[in-house]
Amino acid sequence: MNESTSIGEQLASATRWEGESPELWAKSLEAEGKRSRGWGEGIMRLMRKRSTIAAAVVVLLGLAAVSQVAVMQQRSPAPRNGHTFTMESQKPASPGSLYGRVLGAIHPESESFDELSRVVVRKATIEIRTPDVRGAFAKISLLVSEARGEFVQDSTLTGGGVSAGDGPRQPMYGTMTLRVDAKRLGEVMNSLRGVGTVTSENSGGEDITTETVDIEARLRNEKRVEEELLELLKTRQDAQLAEIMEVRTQLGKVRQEIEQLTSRRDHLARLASLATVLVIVQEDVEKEQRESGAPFGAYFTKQIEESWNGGLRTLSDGAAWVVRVLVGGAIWWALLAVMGVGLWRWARSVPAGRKSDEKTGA
Amino acid sequence: MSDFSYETAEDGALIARFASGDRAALGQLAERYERSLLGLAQGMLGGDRAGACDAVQAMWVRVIRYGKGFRGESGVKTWLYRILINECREARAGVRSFRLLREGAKERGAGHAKAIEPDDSAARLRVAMKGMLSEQREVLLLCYHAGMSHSQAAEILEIPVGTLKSRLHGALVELHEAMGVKEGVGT
Repeated sequence: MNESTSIGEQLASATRWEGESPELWAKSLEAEGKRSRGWGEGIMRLMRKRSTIAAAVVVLLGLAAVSQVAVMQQRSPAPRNGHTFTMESQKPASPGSLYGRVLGAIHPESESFDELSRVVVRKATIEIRTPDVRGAFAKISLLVSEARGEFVQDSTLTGGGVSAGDGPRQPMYGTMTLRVDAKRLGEVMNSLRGVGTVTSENSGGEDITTETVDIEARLRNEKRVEEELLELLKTRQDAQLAEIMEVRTQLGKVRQEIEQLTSRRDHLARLASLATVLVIVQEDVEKEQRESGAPFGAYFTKQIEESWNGGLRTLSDGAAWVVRVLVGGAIWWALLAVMGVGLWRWARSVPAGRKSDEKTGA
Repeated sequence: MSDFSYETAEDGALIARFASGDRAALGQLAERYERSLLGLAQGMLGGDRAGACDAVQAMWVRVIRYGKGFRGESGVKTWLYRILINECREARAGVRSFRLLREGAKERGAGHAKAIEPDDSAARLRVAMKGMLSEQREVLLLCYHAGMSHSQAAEILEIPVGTLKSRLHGALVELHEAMGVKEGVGT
């Protein structure tokens, strides 16, 4: 027997188990049985199934997205600068009533009017200065969503010409009246503020709840009178012609009144459902002249200042968005964190590079 | 009869029975392979019998957990050895403690360690192997373990047979040098 053979024997001996087998498989079965009886094992088994994890993540993300959208819809439009467009709960009205029909036009999604609001016509005015009036007009007109029934009610643009005798150019001046969905008023006002420098702004609401209720009562009354007159015509067919003609005349007056009230009701409904925004745009000639005539150093400083302020605004907007997402979706982040920890523990239980072959024998 | 003379199909049937809830099937599988697995683990862990027990028990735990997902793309024996080798690698590297068995291992350690006293040649071999690369050590132990063929060892280590033979030759040369053997290498 040479040395190689001897080494071979020694190697074989090194991997030979002397003595009885300790039956470790039985101990493993027992240990694993105890472990699987723990309440956490069910969760961990679920976590080990990738399809379960993927489905859970998709469901959670979907719920988070839906809740975020719902929250954002509830918050819009956001009241600004202390101007409140309140819709306070007041008193019930039937869906078939005038009051109900007006509200129905404002809140078409609500089927019952158990929770009624005040009927408010919203109006806002904003005055903007910008070097590029035409560009601002184009931007403003894009804010209107025709799909929602919004429209530009009117617009005018004046100035821009040169005065006689080589005088200074007349600044451009324009007005535009927008009719936008009342729910989007805050959003539209925010967008308008970004068009130029806001020099003045005011907004308010006209409460037409009383008028609405009054019209409803009058309409109801007129319809009752109409029914009575019709009934009278039906039951007193043998009456004298003069009396019948008198009743018909009265019926005509009542029907005319009903038509007027109905028209007024529809007008109120339109007013309440669409807010009116008057936008006044003035050309900032001074700024243009100032910038063109100012020394380069001042111009450069001004640009830096504006850039800095713009950056700060963007940063603050971003931070606010992050806070809103974190706070608004706290419950979902917590759930995702729990799932992430579970995934991490699962990944650690089977080291990388050996998962597939150990689990499947591949 | 060596451990590798069993039919793979029977092993697959045992795993399938275990996956369907027959716990005794695992016992039959262990009856076939547990001793040889313990021997290999002992060799890979430098004669540490307690460590070998821990590694094999951890391997059984994995078999219990993942047995249902066994697709049979490799033989059961190959699967068991791969798991065991991974356990031993981690034990040697100290990457992972055998969490499930930590307590039991402390109790068993002393008894197993004292059961077999190594002779001088075995001690020399262990010292020589400690200085070798882990991949060379694994090749050496597998190729001389329980009548395992080169192709079986190559399958377990997931390397080509040619690579295995090359490593084995290099490992034997190094081992001979380390142990002071002057004759040629026979693989």
